[in-house]
Amino acid sequence: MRMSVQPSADPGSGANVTDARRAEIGVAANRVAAVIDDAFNWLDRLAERLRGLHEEARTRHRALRADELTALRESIFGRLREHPRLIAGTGVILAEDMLADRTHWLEWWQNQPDGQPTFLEVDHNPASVDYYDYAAAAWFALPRRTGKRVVVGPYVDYSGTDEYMLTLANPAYSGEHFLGVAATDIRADEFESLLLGALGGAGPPAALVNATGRVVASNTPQKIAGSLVAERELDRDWPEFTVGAPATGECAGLPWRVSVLRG
Amino acid sequence: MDGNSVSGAARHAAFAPLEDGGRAEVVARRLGEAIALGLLGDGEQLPSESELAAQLKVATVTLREALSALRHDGLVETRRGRGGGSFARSPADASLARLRKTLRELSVHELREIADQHLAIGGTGALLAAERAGEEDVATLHGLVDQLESASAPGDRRRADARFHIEIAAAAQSSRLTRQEIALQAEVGELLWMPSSEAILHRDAVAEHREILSAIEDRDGQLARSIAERHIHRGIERLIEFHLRLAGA
Repeated sequence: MRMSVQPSADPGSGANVTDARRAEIGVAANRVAAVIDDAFNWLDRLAERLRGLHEEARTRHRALRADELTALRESIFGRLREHPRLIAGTGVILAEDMLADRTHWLEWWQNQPDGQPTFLEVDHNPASVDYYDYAAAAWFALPRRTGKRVVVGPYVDYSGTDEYMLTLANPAYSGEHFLGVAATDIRADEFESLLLGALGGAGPPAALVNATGRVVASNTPQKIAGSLVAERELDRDWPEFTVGAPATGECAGLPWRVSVLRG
Repeated sequence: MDGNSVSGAARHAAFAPLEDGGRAEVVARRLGEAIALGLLGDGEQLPSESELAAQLKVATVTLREALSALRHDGLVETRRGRGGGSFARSPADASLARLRKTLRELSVHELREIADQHLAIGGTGALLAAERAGEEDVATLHGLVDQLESASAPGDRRRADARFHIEIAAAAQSSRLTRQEIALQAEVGELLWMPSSEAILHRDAVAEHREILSAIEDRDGQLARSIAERHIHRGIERLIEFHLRLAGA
């Protein structure tokens, strides 16, 4: 899927709106779209590998075992190495009827500062206080229920990384059979440099805003990452670029927008 | 604490006159806490009904109602006939002895330090959550209040209570506040929900959580902060009271 970037229908006509500034906002939106695109392309490949493993086991009339998911590691490590800062972790989280030996399992690896990927150990015991109840998490429940990919966040990921995070997830299917999700955690902080790289800190105050109105990144202290933006706070003299318009992608949690804020 | 070596002072405190009106519920709570805290040892005989009612300055009928509630909770056993009477029964919960010990060994100063930190974290968390909570955060918080309301075991109540406070910090979009709230809940959560001696009564805790949540939904940060602070303060104040009763026994 190619993430669409569209300027608003009204191109904006305020006195301060120059073509150069308008172009910068478009560039910022395109860079954001490219990051999301690249992440979902990776998740397509990862989901495809999971489907391959599952179907290979099926031809031998059995279900996959948890230890056979190690076959995914080489590509997961490669992906983590490629983006040591942007990507906090990636892997697959499995439906309860998917593995022969586990009803609750994830093959999930996290990027570490020293460059060595770390396997995420979680509590699989439903009776335990620290049970990692992923079936209830939006990045698992939503793709399962709707069959769509999803962008969740930014949110405080206190049961995983302890960081301010975005999670992107793709459902994996074999025919109609839901196998689980392929997902990746992206550090919300990384969108700041992406935005600043295109807009700089000196231009009009602009923000990358998610579908629920939450700021993912901004170039102004007046609205910082994590805060909410109301429609009335947007400067309608400027065009607004949407990332991933609903018409083009079967993806919950989009579109995002790059918008200019009232000064 | 060895349940059978309770000092006269602790016993005296458990049976001291009640100032607040003598409702059966208040009587049951006072005696139930004393038993759960070990201030009345397992098997220890309570004074006769008329004697105890007189000491507590409540009507005999009120005391009977309180004893009946305690019997229902398994904290009092009543035997008839010669050698009969009402006897304290320690809750058969393995964690209780450990929690009593922790609570006794903490100092008032340490508990105050925990309170100071918790007020800072929880109060600011509520303030920022009122500014930053999204619809999905509010929905999660509603679910957690309902979960606390329907929880009956101390462990389930503790978990639902802790999750509520942790989710407020997460709704504030702050990783640091969330980490500190998690650490604080790990430190005091069990103490706040000791079997048969919860620091804040279950239904009061539910009502206060609803109040905090309602202020967050109304985007009234100052109100959310002040209710959260009052709630946190109340809990720790009760723990200090428990500590003093245990340490003075």
